Parts: sequence; structure tokens; C-alpha cells
Amino acid sequence: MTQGLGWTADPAAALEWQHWGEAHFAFDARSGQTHFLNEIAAAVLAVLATHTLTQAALYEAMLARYEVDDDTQLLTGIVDTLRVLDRLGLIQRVAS
Amino acid sequence: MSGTTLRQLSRAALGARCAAGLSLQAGPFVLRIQGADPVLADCLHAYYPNYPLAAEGSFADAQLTLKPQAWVDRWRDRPRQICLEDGLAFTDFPLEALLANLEWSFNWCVATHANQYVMLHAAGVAKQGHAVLMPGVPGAGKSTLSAYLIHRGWRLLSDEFTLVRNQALDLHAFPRLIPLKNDAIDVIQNAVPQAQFGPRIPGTRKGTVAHLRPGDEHIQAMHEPARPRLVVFPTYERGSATTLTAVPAAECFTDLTHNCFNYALLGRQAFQMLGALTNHVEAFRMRYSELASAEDTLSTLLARVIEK
Repeated sequence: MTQGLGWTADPAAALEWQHWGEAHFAFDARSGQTHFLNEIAAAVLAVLATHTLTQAALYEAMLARYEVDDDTQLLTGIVDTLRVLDRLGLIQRVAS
Repeated sequence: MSGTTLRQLSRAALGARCAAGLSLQAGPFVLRIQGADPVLADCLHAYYPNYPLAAEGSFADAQLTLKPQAWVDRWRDRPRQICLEDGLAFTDFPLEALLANLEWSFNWCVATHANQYVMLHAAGVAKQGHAVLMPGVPGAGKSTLSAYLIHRGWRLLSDEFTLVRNQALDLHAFPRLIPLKNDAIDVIQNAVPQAQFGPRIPGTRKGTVAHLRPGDEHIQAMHEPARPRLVVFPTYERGSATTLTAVPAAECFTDLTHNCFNYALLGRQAFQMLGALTNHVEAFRMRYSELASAEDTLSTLLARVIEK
């Protein structure tokens, strides 16, 4: 991931949400696709909907959200999630 | 229900109307059928007597024409053809399969055109305005269960298409002949001897099919919407006791989207309405083999949900 670039939700996706427990569904009006998202993905999207964050800053935000100290598994999950969300066109990289 | 039903027309008058084009009301849809061949009027006379004629000049949601056959085609026993409104042949079939092909043609028109509704591939039955939706893949037993239930005090909304119109989640009835396939025909004939069937039509793409005619009360109530209370995913399993398993909301929503004919087309609207539907109902998977036991289970479950 390029230093100096941050992640943000792509506003053009215009997501519509349904939530049941830890299951989250996002309808992307642009693509017409419905995405089934887990807790981390939904949380990442929620944060990136209002902030532009580098991967490191996003990790810090997630640690704070879940009130945990360093967590390698969470970091791996965030990296994987960013890759998937990027591939789905739900987030984009912009200058942070 | 007001207006004239087909049974109020004499056979001669029905034949004349068919030749000129006749419009039937089936739930919220108008089906216009045209064909001078007497086999068409015979078919409508026998199997659609309780359907009302639509008002003259009604917009037709589906238009079917039974193409005339030259004498040489009849002599050679060539297939009949039904054309849709574009005039192109939609389906070829032997004479004895006319009823099945009329029904399938009408279904095709509705499934491809009626996008003012969220259309679920689900049977729907109701008691006192409270509906149970039964989505399922072909073979899950939707039609067989529906055929049984409507002879045990339930109202038929549809054995195939559940129509959801608006955010209030009103379910619009679309009562039609119920096509039973293969073993299900004998199952229902044995369980419900008074059930009125059309002929057995062998060799269709779904095997042998026989159509069960819903009683007058179901057609007369077809303009009364129902409220969804339960979603039950049925699975017929030979020899199984009737079992119910609660379905989490997320799983229910996923399965509803998979069983929605026009989900991709309606997009956000379908997403919102199926989400609202999921929040409005309780959902279960039901495994069954005995129809009476399944009916008892559904009745008990619905009563409990209504009481809440």
C-alpha cells in the first residue's frame, strides 16, 4: 500500500444497509449488487464513510473501537478486508 | 367479487368471446386470451369457470393467442402454438397439453413483466388475513402443501408467485390452478378426494402434470391482500417427522433474495422491502412428509405468532 494515501468509502456507491446481529448487508446502488459483510468489514466501511485513514490509522481506530491492544489477527483481518472492499469498489485510495 | 364469471357464459357465448378475444381477471392481472379454435373455449369452460371477466377495455398484462391450425396441420396432428403479444410463437405443444401451456405462458408473462411487485418464488396461504410464505426450489413441496392447505381452511394466495406491492408489505393474491407433478398428484387425490383436477398431462418438461382447480372462495377473495406473518422454507423428505427449525434473520433475508424473481431488476426497492419483510416475520425451516402433520404444525405456529 502506498504511503501517504488513505482509504475512504467511495460515496458513489451510495450504500443502503440492513443489519441483523453481526451480519450486515450493503446494497450498492451503483452496481446493483448486494454484499454480505462481516463485523469487521461493516465497521471498516462505517469508519471510512466519515474519515480518510491510512491503513495504520484505520488499525488504530479499530483497536479503539473494540477496546483491544495490539492484535495481529485484527490487523490481518483489516488488510484482507481493505483488499476485498477495494475489489468491490466500495472504498478508494485518496491523498490523506 | 362483482362482474360476470366464465361459468355465466353459455358455451356458445364463450366460444364467440374467445374468437374475438376474452379478458380474464386473475388477482391483480388481466389475461387476454384469443383463439377461435373450440379447444380453447372448452379448456376455459372446464378449468376457469370461477374466474371473472375483466372489464371491457382493460389493460392486458398478458396477451396469449392460440394460433389457428390449418386442416392439414390438424390432420397431421402437428403441435399447437401459443403466441404472445409480439405475435411470435412462444410454445409448441400437443393438444392434450393446452391447459399446462396456457398456464406456463401466463406465468412467463407475469414473471417477466409484473415488476411493479417484488415477486417471490414462494407459495402463499393465509388465514384471516395472516399469511404464511413458503419459498422454495422446485420439488420442495410448495404446490403440494398449498393444494392440501387450501382444503383445510387456508386461503390460496398463490402456489408459485408471492406478490409484495408496497412498503406496507401487503401480499396480493394471485390464485391460479395449482400444477401438481408426478407423485404429488396421487398424494393430493388420496388426501383430498374432493379436490377438482384437470386431466393428467404426461410427457411435459416437468413430467406428468395435473392441475388442481381452486374453489370459488379463493377466486372471490383474490382482491383481499394479506399480511405476512411467517416465512416457512419447506422441504419434503420421505418418512420424515415434521420438524421446525428457527431461521436467523440474516439467513432468511439471504434466502428471500435468492427466491426473488426480480431482485436484480428492482435493486434498492427489493433490498428495502425484503429487509422490511424479514423484520416483520418469523422464519423457520420445516421438514415434513405427512401433509396433515405439516398443516397442524403451520396452524399452531401461525396461531402463536398472531397471539404475540
